[in-house]
Amino acid sequence: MNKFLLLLFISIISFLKISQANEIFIESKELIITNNPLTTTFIGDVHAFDEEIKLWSDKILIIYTETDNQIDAIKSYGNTKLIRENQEILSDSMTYFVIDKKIYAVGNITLTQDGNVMKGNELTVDLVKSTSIMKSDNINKVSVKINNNE
Amino acid sequence: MISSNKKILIDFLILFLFFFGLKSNAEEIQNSIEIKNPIFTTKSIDGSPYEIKAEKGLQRENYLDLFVIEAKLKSNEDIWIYLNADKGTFNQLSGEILLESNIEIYTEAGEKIFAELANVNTNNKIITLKTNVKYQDTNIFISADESIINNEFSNIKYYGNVKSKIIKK
Repeated sequence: MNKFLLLLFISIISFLKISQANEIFIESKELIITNNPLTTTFIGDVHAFDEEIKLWSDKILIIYTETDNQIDAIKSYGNTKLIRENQEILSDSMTYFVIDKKIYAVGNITLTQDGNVMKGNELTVDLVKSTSIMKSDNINKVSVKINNNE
Repeated sequence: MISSNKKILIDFLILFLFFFGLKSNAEEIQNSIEIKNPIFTTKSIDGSPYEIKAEKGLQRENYLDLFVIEAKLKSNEDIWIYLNADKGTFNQLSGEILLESNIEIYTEAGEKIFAELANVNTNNKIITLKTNVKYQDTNIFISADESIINNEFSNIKYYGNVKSKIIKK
């Protein structure tokens, strides 16, 4: 009986975890939804979060797949901040590719990771491979400040 | 002496207002006509049909107070939009319906909206929802303070304290 209850408890927990992993929560001051084409725009103090990321921005647009209306990407505009694992990214705008599990940020980027600070103009983060590539324009080179205080 | 006169005057004024109020209410009740199970089937300005049913109606000139309402509007895309509420007032001149308490609006496409207050304009088909607004379909759940539905659910705006949960796939 006890084993059965334990199995039931584990099943419920697993189900809840899967359910939560499949959802994204977004809060804002205003939301506009249009059909044909389907667009979802959150405006004003937007905060989005799922099991991978926490995102803050002035405006967030949800992009859906054309075939089955799945969330393809989340685009943020203005004062964007993203936190995931040990990384914090600040930028002007950002796209979180939900299906591809990638992040692409543009403009005035500050990437902070384990106390190290990198600045640039273009950033690509692969959430699956855990790789980050920072680029910069011709005038401003990528700058790095490494924190060696262990 | 002056204050005593003032007190009497105020007492008279209160009594006058009280009886005047009672008289007005009595007239209002006398002038209203109770209708059991009223059904209105008519067309909006653009010719699309709408139907309003209720368990009870009280007719006051051009206003109809309705209780336990079931209404439906047909969109330009031939989709029925259904509205239920505990009570409401139908303005027969303007075609506006004010709904109160336990409002539920749903479409044949599986969209559902709940609220405590709503204004439905049957002519331009704009629905304004207030207080404890909740929307849900198969992919998204939204709660907000206020919502405006335009163009028969093709444009929905939410205002104030918007919270949403979206299914990714």
